[in-house]
Amino acid sequence: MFDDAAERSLMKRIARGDSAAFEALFKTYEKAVGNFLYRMCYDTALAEDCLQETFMRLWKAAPNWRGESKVSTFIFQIAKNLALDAREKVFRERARGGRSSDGDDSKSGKELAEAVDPGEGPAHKLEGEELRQAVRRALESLPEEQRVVVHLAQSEGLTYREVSEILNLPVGTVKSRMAAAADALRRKLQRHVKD
Amino acid sequence: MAETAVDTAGTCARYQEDIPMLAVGALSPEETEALQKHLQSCAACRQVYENNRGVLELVRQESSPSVMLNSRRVLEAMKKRMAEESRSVYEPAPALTAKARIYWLAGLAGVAAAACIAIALLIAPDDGKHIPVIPGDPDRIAVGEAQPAGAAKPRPVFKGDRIKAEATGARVSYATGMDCRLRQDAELFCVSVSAVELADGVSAFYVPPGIEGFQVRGRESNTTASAQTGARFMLRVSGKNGEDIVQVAEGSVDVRGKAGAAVRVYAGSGTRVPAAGTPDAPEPIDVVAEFGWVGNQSSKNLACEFKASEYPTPGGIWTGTLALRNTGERALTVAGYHPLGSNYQLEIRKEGEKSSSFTKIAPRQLSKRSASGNAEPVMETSSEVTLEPGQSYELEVDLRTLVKEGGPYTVAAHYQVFSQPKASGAESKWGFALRSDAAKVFAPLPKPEHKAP
Repeated sequence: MFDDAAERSLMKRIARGDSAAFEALFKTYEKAVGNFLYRMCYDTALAEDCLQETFMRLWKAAPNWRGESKVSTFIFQIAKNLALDAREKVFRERARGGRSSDGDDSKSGKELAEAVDPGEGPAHKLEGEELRQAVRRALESLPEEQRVVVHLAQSEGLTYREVSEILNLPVGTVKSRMAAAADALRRKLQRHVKD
Repeated sequence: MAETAVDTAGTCARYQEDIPMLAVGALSPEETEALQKHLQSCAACRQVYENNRGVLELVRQESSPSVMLNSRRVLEAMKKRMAEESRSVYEPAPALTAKARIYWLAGLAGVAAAACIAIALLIAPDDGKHIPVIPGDPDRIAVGEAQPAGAAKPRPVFKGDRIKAEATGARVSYATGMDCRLRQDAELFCVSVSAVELADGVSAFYVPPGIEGFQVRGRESNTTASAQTGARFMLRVSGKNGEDIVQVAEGSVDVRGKAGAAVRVYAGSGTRVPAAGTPDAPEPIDVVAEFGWVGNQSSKNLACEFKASEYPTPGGIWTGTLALRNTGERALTVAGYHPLGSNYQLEIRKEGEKSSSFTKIAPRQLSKRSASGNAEPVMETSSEVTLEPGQSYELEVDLRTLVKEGGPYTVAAHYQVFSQPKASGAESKWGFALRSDAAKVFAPLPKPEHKAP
């Protein structure tokens, strides 16, 4: 859980241009937001770019931030928007025949979802990279609205109520999207779960 | 602990909704404790939990980065940028000519003068012709001013300027009275005093009566929305499937796709423009839900007010009153499907929660109140009612029906009205959504149920 009161005071200092407060806030969130961004993009370089942009936007927005939401939801809101934009740009570039990203992953995004799913064949246990790819394929096959809920809900320190604030959705909608995503993932991945 | 044999009153269904959230660690400590307690006593829910836990743990493990992000590198890059960049949300147009660059310097010197003119415009009667011009450069015409949400002072905006709303939204007020709200991350280019291009995101526009020929264009998609005077509308440009959306809350807007075909969209409806560039046939929209983010609105001299008693009376009566009041100097005819019966919603939010629930109001009582304060009950609803200056229609609402648990709440009322064209080709007169100020109320804890000994 994040300490909203302490972070609000950091935001006030950031609004006055205090770079030490900015660094402190970044260190609080770098792992949670970084992991979320990576899960959304599957590309380390792209996730790092989005992480940088998230906090640059926070730095710029701090003087005008009115504190209506928690600091954590504010940061994740920016990160989520950037991640969705980044994914869209990557898909668009690929559709135009541009080169793939220089990230550490050979396949990402829709490429993963469109790849042949070995999980549909006879049941067999996958290991290592093969299992990783199967999980990513299953995630990428989810509708975007469900995938975002899954990645936010499993972000360290966020509750589903905060997820509903980040996505500006009623709590019930977040729960139903999560339940639908869990059903779909179970159908695709149950055979790979270790007993 | 004994196993639960029967699922009473849907308890298990409620817990099972939370199980995926427990499996990914997204419940609060209190909710986690309650659910874990239930799992200990309920085999069926435990089975559901086990089914979810394995898969969601696998997903969490296997979707994590194999290599940690280099946050030190990110931090260093940010420090460099922070040293270079200013905090301005306002950027001058990137494509200035060499001549214009010289004038830009002159323009900088004239910014203070332009700001003064802008302030003067706010005070002076607006006849739509007071457009400040930076001395020495006919291209540097201040079309209005931009203000990021929460900023104390607006900045002048010139032809060709790019406005990026960043994370907090922004507002651009044109000297002509045209109002433009940019939602978070929206990006807009001011092309002229009567045209803008939306490069990204969502923006809402209000074109006041008397202003004609205002046009908004999707920068990439070429979707064009030409507003009739008095229109309030919204354009959403999206890279997703290349689909743009135009929605109209008030008046009417002609929407043309890049394929050339056009449709007229009236208040209370919206159209999608797919990548192919031919707009779909307009469909009804929920004006309150779609335009709620724009904030309080008032229009046509009709005010929307909501008052509520802070606590229920000892007798259990607990009412709120929604009033629609004619604040103008002329009689006002309110047109709608059922202006007194069905176009109201209450937005209710428990303190500390951001998301609200919206409930259609079923009025307990309806009355018409004169300017002098006398109220008469109204027995019937009709599709058109006239309010004299100062008169109001009041709906009394039973607040007990809106809350399920005790605690402080914030309640606001919405009212939406729009008249559809009665015959083919006829103009829609008007339509809009109003939101009242919020009232704070306090619901007492529900009485505990008495159990038989």
